[in-house]
Amino acid sequence: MNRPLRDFDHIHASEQLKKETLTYVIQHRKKTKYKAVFAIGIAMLCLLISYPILSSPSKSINDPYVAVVSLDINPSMEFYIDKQDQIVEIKTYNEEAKEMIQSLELQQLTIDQAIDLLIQDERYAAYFEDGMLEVGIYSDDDKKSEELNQRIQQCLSTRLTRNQFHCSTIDKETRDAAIPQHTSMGKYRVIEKIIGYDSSYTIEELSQYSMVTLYAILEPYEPNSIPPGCRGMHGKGHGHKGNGS
Amino acid sequence: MRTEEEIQNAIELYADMVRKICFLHMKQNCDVDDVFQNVFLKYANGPEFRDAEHEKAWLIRVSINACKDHLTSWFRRKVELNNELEQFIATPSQETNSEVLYAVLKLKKQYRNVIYLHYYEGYKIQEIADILQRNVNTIHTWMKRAKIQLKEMLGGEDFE
Repeated sequence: MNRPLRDFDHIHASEQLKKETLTYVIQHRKKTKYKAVFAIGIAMLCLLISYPILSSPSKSINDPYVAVVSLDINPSMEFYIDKQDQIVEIKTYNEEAKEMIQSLELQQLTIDQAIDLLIQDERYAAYFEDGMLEVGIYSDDDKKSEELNQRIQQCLSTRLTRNQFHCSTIDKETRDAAIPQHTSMGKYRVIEKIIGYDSSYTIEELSQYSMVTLYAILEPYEPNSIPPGCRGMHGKGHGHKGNGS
Repeated sequence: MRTEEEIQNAIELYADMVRKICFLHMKQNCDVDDVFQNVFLKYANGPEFRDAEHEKAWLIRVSINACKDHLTSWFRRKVELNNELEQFIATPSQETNSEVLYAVLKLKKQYRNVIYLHYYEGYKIQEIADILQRNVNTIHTWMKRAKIQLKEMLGGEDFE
């Protein structure tokens, strides 16, 4: 068969559609420009109003952070850490994480102290029965990322077995891509890999799964990158679609 | 930010291609306007391109993603709509080969993309992998499976 898709030759964009598209793009771009000017004005005003609050010595969630650490087992959360290694903000991504954080006072603690407290919590510890903790570490400063990675691994090793946790540093691209998806960066790193192999999954769908399930889906494609605690889970009812694509 | 002239040129040059990609993915002709506007608005604020090939590949990827985003929006997931092939083909050919087009539309979306990019746009497997940001082996697998399914749908006739 010669040029099997030759019928595509008959599919054209109408002149009207082209014209309407151009008008829309030009108008929308102008609107965006005005919106941007307006937004900058509002932002300046907010900055002026909030300056006395921001400049006070007490810590608040607006304090600048230098690193982010995500924890995923089923509760999914991210800790924002300042220069003094203290937690200045905690972001939760599901109800389980929200409940957990509400009952624990983790702000102002160091990341080691916070992880220690979490692991000792009975409800959190229960997730380790059939789960594995995925830790993602991000900082603009690579040295800081690596230092935190070492420290967190050391801290987790004292409480958990090697099969119960997995730590990885996250690159800027993955971190930036995770934000609009409202998914923690550690989880998103694995989701992105899965979608790279099988685009029939959606990010929304995968973000509902636990880390063990995500690794079970990834295992056939990347058996060597699966943490020891999650190996051999593929095909054991951990949510694989079985579409084989 | 691109000038009006640059945007107009891109619409002239790539409108048909974007329309064909919409045809591959959209279930209703009326959705095309939204996707179209979205794609060229992204182009208007898009990155600098190395050359025309880079620009074309970028537009293909953005068009596929725009279709995907549109179809996964809340409304689209709740409402089941029918394909309207006739609406897309403005001037049906004398020797129309719609059987093949219908068969292609029945494939999974990732299979549709590789078949279109390879057999219509003439991209090689490695180039398709780059455009779709997928592993080369994945593209090989999709291509192989797509061809098998097309052969079955076309009554045993080879697709090529």
